[in-house]
Amino acid sequence: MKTYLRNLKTLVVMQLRDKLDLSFIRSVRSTIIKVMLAIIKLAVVIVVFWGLFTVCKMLSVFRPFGYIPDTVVNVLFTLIQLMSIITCTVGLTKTLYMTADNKVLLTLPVSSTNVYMSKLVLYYIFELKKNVGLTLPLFVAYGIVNNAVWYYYPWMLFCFLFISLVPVAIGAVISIPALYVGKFIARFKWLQAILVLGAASAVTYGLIYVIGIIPANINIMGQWGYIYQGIDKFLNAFANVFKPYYYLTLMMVGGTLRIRAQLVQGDTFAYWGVMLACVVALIGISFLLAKPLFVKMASKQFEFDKRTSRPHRNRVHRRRLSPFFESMQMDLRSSTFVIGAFIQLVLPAIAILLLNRLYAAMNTNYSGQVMTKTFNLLVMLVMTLAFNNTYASVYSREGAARNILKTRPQKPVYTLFGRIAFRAMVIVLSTVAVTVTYYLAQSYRVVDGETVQIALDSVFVKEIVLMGVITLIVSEAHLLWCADMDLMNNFADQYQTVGVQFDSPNERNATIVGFLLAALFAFLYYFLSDRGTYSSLVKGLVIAVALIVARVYLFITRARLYFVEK
Amino acid sequence: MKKSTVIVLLVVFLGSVLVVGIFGMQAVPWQEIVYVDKIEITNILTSSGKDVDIKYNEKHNYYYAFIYYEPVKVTQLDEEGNTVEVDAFEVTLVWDYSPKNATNNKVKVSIVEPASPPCDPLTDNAKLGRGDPIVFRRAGNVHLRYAAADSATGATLDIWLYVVVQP
Repeated sequence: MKTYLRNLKTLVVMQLRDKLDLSFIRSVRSTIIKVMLAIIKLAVVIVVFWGLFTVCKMLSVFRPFGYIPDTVVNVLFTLIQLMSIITCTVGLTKTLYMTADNKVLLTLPVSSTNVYMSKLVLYYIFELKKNVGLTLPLFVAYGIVNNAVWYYYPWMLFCFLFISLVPVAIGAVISIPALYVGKFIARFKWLQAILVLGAASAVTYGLIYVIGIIPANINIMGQWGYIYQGIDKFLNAFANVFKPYYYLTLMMVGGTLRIRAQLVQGDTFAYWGVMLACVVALIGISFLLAKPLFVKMASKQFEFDKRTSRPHRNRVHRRRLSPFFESMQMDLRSSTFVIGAFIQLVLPAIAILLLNRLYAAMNTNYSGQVMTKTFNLLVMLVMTLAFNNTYASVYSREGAARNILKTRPQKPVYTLFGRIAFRAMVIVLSTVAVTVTYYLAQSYRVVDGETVQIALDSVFVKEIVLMGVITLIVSEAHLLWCADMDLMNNFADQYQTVGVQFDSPNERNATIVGFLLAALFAFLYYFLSDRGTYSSLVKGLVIAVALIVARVYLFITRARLYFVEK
Repeated sequence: MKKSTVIVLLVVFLGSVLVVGIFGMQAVPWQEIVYVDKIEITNILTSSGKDVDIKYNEKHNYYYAFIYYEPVKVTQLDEEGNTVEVDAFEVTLVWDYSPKNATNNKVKVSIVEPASPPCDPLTDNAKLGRGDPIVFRRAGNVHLRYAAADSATGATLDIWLYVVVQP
């Protein structure tokens, strides 16, 4: 047993070193800086959640007596956990069965059980890390707002050690059917196409249904009693539907009022015991079913897996254009990429349509009208920029193949641009779609069940066009910024050795930069207006143009100077 | 897309609706919610075209009506989706609510008895929307409940339809 645990520890540490940049441990100064930054990040997330809860408490959104019911934190916790189960299932399916390092790990003088368990432990550590970064601050903020008893906070830490096991255990079990389903679907292109169409139709139908049930008149303040009851009903219904997660929430917070004095009672330990038993049972099932499959998959030869395709005539492209065609071919081979591109194209437009249908039902004053325009710009930008984040690891994802790019007899900037060219095109199409949707949503209103066309003011039409142009320019600038981050601080080694979804710091930074850019332009639009909002858009456009010029200059310069070196 | 990004998008979207809804509205500080306080059956129409007398049971607070089962040929879809003509009897309940300026005037109609499915003696796919005829495929009793959807304790109306074979 002792040897087993020692081997397990060695395997976990070995893989952790591959997956995480732990070089800062060697230097005390770097360690202190790293720890301080982590604490600041944690504090910022806590403050954000605390701010949201405090605003809700002040406005008595959920309860008239100024506290937040446990059902609110339950909704957020359940949603995060459900997303974790999806990411864990996808991640574990890849980590357990499809990673290249399995073949190396199985040659080590350890048992296959050791290797299998090390994968689960590794995933558990990543899940714990994610929970500490997002879910724990949520509960800490909830505790602060609801005046939790002092031992609530250490109790939280204790709970999260076990809560983090839940999605990993569920993911390990679901990964078995997920592998078979994934492999089956990957075999047939037509099936992928049908599934994509089906999913897209279902989502579109769902959104159109939601848009259809928006009431003709929304007055949040005036109809507050009615809305308040609706929120309460929804929260209780949600807790009923996802009862196991509601029990987990109760285990952690005790209850809306119990959190202040009697947090831990007999039922708390009952919930904890049941959760632990479920986790043990799930890990047991995964061990019995998934481990043999893992050994089979990991030791499978991959050299002959590749299906042969008919030889095609080699088309010679122009030297400068060849990287663009090459990237596009590589991208379009992946059905995941095609689905992603479709979502990137459609989702911002649907979001704008939904937002404007909601605004159309509100009887806004002048300030409200400016706010609706500002939020339209903000949502346009936030939605479009959010899809750029994955491009902060676009070059690193190529792993060792990145070095081959450097040997090409052409300027690297063409290859680097080639990798982001498809996304740049999607941005153009998506921005056109979102601008046209905004224009149509403003031009057509449903009055008494009939769609009526409204003649828009020419200045407002110009404003819509300018918003589209600003969104386009800022999104392209942000895309270049993301690519630039990966160029200057690449993680190709981690992507080369790690088969899991590597949590790239560049993507995190890209998210923050994207959100700040969107907030900045929305802020400028609202506060730089001078006798109308048109002038602030012109100012915003000048800033956007300056931004993209700077980003293009920096990208080209850095590509020339650093790409070959780094 | 990462979890944190999805949460940010949701917060921005919902926040943008809430901010405009709270700070950007015309100065209408309070809009009174008017609840539906009464639902009443004003008439019952049948496929036989005969008048139906609606009665009220004061003791147990429900309406009831005796109707003779007089089937006519009704077009329906069978299990394979083909159009077929079957013997059935259609009853349409004409109802109304008050006050007319109710904020949410939706009324839910449900079959209390017999418990569904199957809704024997009604057809399996019985529609209960406003103006939809209730189709009886044989004589029998049905208990319907009309309830205002605007609050849990809102107005309700119960009606028993006794569809009997003519002696």
